[in-house]
Amino acid sequence: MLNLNETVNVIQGILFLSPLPVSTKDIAEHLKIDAALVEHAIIALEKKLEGGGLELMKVAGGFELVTRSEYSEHLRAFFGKLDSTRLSRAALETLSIITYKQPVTRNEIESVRGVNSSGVLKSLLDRGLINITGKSEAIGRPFLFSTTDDFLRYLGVDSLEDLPALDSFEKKF
Amino acid sequence: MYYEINIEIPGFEGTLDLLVQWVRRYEIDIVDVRLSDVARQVAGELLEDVDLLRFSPFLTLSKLMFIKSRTLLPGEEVLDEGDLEDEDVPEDEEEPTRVRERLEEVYKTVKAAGEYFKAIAAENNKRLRSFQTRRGELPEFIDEIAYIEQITPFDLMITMNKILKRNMDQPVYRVKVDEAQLLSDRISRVFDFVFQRRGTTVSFDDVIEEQKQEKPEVVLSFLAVVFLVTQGKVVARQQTPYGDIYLTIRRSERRASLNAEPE
Repeated sequence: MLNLNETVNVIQGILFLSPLPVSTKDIAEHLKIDAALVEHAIIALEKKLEGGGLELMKVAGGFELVTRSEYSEHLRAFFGKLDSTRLSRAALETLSIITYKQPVTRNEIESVRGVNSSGVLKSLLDRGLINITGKSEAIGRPFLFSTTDDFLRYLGVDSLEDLPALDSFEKKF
Repeated sequence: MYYEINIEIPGFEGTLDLLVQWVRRYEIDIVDVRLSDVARQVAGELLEDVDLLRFSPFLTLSKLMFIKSRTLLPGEEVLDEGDLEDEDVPEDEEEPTRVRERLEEVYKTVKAAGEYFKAIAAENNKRLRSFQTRRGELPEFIDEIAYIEQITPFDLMITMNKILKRNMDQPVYRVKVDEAQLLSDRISRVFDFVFQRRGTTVSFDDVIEEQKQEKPEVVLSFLAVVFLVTQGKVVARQQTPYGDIYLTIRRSERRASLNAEPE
């Protein structure tokens, strides 16, 4: 049976190795320990990491071990170009429509953007930032699009509720 | 015979043709033109004297409809069932200009949201994840993809011809896999052959040459190689499709075998 300190270390290892965010539920299930202990260990790990080069981030319903943003420049100088997703203005607009109106059809997206958006949708689907979550009841039963967990990871947020309300952007123009 | 129909709508008074001209010259915003009013006036005028030849105003009207449809939303409007059942549709419908303004506002809002996404994604991008630096070994098919990208239709044609020729010329050989002893002997022989040449690269052709095998034997040796590869004892590499197959003893296997050898 792991004690708290060992649990903290094991969780640190899991988060270091995992390519995806890991939820407390997953950790509790796999280590066969109480979820409350995992949560306790997560808090302890956050404290342990304080002042170091790494930090815990709550993303897409799980935890990730990431480097602190203030050291980004130095780390990139060492590793050179690293894989990262860069999106066009059109893709960002489309994503924002889907984020705030999901599930949404292509027609609804195009009615706001005013241009054909099939290419952008395909690109976002390929990147896994959106997926098809059903079909609308409207004529032709068009596909409905929604955002994915990868989209939350792209933004670095835990859930859609963490994003500002759409109304808050009205005063920005 | 050409018929002129006078139209009277807010901001315009004149013939239907003139209206089309003004719209085309952007002197009147088509979005502000209520086509239902125009159509009603055209229909009213024509109903007074029914003449099937007097269709030209409809063509003119269709031009206006076409221009307006292009100017308004590109997508099909999706109505909810509730919208269709709603009997309390206000008589004073929302002005088209207002609809467009509202859409522009929505567009600006989502654009601002997109800018926000860009900003927080850029901030998030400053936090690096360990998997971003883990390159690992590229899957072997990557080489094949690169190879395929370089080939021309002519290469494809040659390859296809080769395949067709092979199928026609070569009979199908069958090996009875229930002759387990035969296959296991061959597996041992192939493994020993490759093992003795550890540290060097052995081609599949070397295996065949060394044992001067007939075609059914070649098939048996190939099965032995497949077995050794699937068991993780031997690594097989092929630079190009249909190229030579190079065999090496897997490192862990080499260590295990060396440990087992008597000193």
